[in-house]
Amino acid sequence: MTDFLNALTYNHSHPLLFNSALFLLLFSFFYLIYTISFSNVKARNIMLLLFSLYFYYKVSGIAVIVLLVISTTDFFIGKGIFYAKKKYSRTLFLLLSLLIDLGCLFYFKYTNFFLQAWANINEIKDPVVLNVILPVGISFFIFKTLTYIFDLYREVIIEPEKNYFNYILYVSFFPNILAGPISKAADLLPQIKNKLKINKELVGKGFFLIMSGAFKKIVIADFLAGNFVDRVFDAPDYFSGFESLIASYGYTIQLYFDFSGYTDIVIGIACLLGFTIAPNFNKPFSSMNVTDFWRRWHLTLSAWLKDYLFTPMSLKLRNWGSFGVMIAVMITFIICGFWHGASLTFIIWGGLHGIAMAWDILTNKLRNKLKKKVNMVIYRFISIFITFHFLCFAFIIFRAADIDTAIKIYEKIFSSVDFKLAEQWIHLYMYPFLVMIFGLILHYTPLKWNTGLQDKFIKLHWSLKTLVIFIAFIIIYQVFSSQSQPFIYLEF
Amino acid sequence: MCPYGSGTHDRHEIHARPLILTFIYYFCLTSINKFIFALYYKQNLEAQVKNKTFEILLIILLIDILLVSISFAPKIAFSLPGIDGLKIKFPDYKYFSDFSYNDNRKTADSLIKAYIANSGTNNGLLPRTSLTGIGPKIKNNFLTNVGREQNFALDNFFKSLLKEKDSDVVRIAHYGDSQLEGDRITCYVRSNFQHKFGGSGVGFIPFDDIADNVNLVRVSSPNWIRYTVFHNLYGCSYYGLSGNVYKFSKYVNVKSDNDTLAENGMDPVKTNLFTQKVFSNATVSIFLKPSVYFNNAFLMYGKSSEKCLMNVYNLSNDNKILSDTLLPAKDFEMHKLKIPSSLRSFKLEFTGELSPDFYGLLLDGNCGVQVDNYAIRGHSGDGLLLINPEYLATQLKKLNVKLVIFQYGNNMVPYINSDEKCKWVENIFYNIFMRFKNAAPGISILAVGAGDMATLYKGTYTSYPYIPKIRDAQKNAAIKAGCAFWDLFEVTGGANSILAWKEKGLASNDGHFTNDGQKIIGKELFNAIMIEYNQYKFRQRKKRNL
Repeated sequence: MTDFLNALTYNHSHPLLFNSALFLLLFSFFYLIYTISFSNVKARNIMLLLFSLYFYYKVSGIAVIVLLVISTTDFFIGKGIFYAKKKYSRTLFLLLSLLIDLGCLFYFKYTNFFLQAWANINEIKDPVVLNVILPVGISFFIFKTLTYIFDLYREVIIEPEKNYFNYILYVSFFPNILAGPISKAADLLPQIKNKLKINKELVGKGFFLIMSGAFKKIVIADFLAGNFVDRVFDAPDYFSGFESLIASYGYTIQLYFDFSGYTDIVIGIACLLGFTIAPNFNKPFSSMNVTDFWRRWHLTLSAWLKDYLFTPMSLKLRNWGSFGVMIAVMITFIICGFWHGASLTFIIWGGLHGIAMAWDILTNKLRNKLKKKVNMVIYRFISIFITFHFLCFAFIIFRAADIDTAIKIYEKIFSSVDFKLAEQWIHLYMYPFLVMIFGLILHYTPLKWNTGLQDKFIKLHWSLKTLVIFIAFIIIYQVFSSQSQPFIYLEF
Repeated sequence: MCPYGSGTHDRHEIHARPLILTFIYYFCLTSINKFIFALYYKQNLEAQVKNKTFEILLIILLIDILLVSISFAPKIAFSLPGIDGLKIKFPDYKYFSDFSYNDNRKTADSLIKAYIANSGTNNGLLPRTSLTGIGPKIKNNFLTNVGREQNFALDNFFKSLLKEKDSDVVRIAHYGDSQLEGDRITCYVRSNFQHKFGGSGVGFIPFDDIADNVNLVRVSSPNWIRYTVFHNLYGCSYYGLSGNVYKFSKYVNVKSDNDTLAENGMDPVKTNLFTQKVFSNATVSIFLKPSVYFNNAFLMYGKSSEKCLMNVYNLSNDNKILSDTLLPAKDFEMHKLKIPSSLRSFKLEFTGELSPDFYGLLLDGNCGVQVDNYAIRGHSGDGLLLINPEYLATQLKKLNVKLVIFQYGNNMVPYINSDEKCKWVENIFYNIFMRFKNAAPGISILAVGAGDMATLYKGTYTSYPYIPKIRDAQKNAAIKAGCAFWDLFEVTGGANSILAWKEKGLASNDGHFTNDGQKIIGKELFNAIMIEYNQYKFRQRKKRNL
């Protein structure tokens, strides 16, 4: 019993995960109460708010206060923006919000990065390192609350939210607080305020997405990470150039299935609660260039960056023509990289994507001409192939612990890849290899196959749905409960 | 909580408590539901059903019930054509009822902090190993140096450190697996030893290896065949001390030339001649990194029935600087290469009808301590028993090895899952230790236990549960054989500590240390030996005073 009570409190090493038995238990209890209170909007929202705050406390402990402070200040600043009569006072309120939100983000996420950078520049041997606890998902919920402020300022939202608790719920809404999708206030707040309807389609979609998300995350992403990818990136010295190359493909596939699987679970849970959340992925590896990629990858983030950063900036720089657009792109993507993590590796990753986007802008006309001359299937295949390899190349630095590790991996890939090892590697790493191939096949299957399957599931009677979910759980559990493959040595 | 619960439990292990708890839980859940509905929300029932929330709740509860019920079922085993022993696993009841945390991070975190602080103060001084101000009261937390008042396991080694002459190089043989390959960890042990006791050079350099060497860049011609004790395809027991033998061949299968570097043991002469390339000689080029200095170079070779011509080239100007003949030999030979110590890059070229058994190069100083890295990836040490005992004795003597460090065990960890297998581990290590003890009674042996390593299980990384038992088996074997034992598992902080090391960029989950981690381990190993050295010196002083 003591263990159970301890499990209900925050533990840094054991955050509440969607795939844990504890979450299943807590969610079951919560849903019982949620069902009861569902038809009463106030009661429903109170239940949802309490569970959301508890969920965040279980994940991030005392940092729940940061969440409350940020959302409370923005709630009142939002009112200030709305009621301010003059433009400059509206702007002042906006700046105040930016100061608080970005100040918190910088303090919690980037303080040590800048202290370290300062120490490196000034060659300080023992830099000051602050013991700052990073609130989990701070980048996401700050972007979430900023959409509300920006939209109020730009008058996309006509009036501010009147109910304080509704606003707190919008920011802390538990399914997407940790890693998105970043819901806009204009999308989520109306759902919070109004009565929701859960129809058969939403029920089926919710459970289907949870199943497919868990499958993507556990069977593909976690399996690849645990059995091959993590090892190479954690200690690249022990691996050959060929293995490093395969690990870079593996990581790209892993990252997609991890994030899109997680997002599916989030959207699925939201569906069960009666909410609709915008999707985050649309077959990103079918992209023909990097611009196309950002229309398919982390859609809510790219939409946020486009709406609140790139578009206003490119408007300001419109007099500079395409050069201005390229500057805006570069700045947007460097910020995008930095948003992902407080490390130079992320900034470089963002920079690489910025360069690729600038390249797309520069060569757009040329490519359009080429398209007309070359067979479309070949053009498409080559474009996808090159884009995919660029993504893999850039994701190496995204995944590497530091620049040195990334350089080591790049060095190995560009200096000592021996394709003769392929047969041996496939033999030794048969399962990770098959999972990678399976993942790619799954990614490239037509979308209608997935929706077709989903529709069939939706039409099932609830008892059959239960059976399908149970069978899916048991299948996923086979991989979930299996140990990772021991370290295998490629003898090259 | 044993992470293998679902894999091993059967009906006998099912206790009444979780059953009762589960029953109570669901009884309460459904009763409360009914009760509240009946009392307050009857009027809204229709709306609930219409809204399908009730259906969702029903599905969730049914799934819960099904999962909890199935958790009491035994594993279902079945066979498919060609695949035997497939088992369907169900969640263990503990998965739903055990919420205890087995977290060792705090210990690991504080140890890492201390190690980093300790390494930060290393400006030529070793605070924990200074002979003044420490005395015998400082005890080794993780090193067990067995023995009685006058004779401890490491004393022979310490004796030779004190007795070293100007012309002597006291050698330490550091055996291990992938943790060590390419001179990892060893290079830090060596630099610490050489800093304190003098010496230079990097010691043993294999002619070819799977891993890159941290001290040099090596380019070997593709006609070298490497035989190791790991695969034992050499055909006889005259392996070098490293457990390797290198032979050159005139023919190489062009299509799979890299395979000759693997320990596949295939003699290319016997393979398809139509795809083979003919080589007139075999070469090994060495490019030393700027930090490497040496005074003497030796070529180690053994059995050879025909003479072999050897040329050495200075690669900075391609001039031949040495031409020599290796005469037929029946025993282990250390052939001194008269090459200038200022040489930074050189090439060894061998020509002959039949290759002698080459063991590798030695780059040494004139005196002091040398630590040789003898690592074979995937190895667990048992292959060393294949080296001919007399031949082993000869090599240990000729090389003046005074301490042997065995750092094995992690390759066994994933496969050891019973007490019987642990007993087997103990016997294997006892035999290895005794083989070396018998071959050279005057040497000291230090066994390093298996370190912590984690595996992905139920979505989280967890230490292999048998590591402490494997460590105990190794320790028992060491103590029984009169060897010292360094507990790497506890050095890192015990079970699950590797996760903290990984978090700090010092290791990967499967127990391989990063460069920073290797530095810490190398230094802590050296420090542990030095604490014993202090105590040895204190004992000697006390004896003299008496």
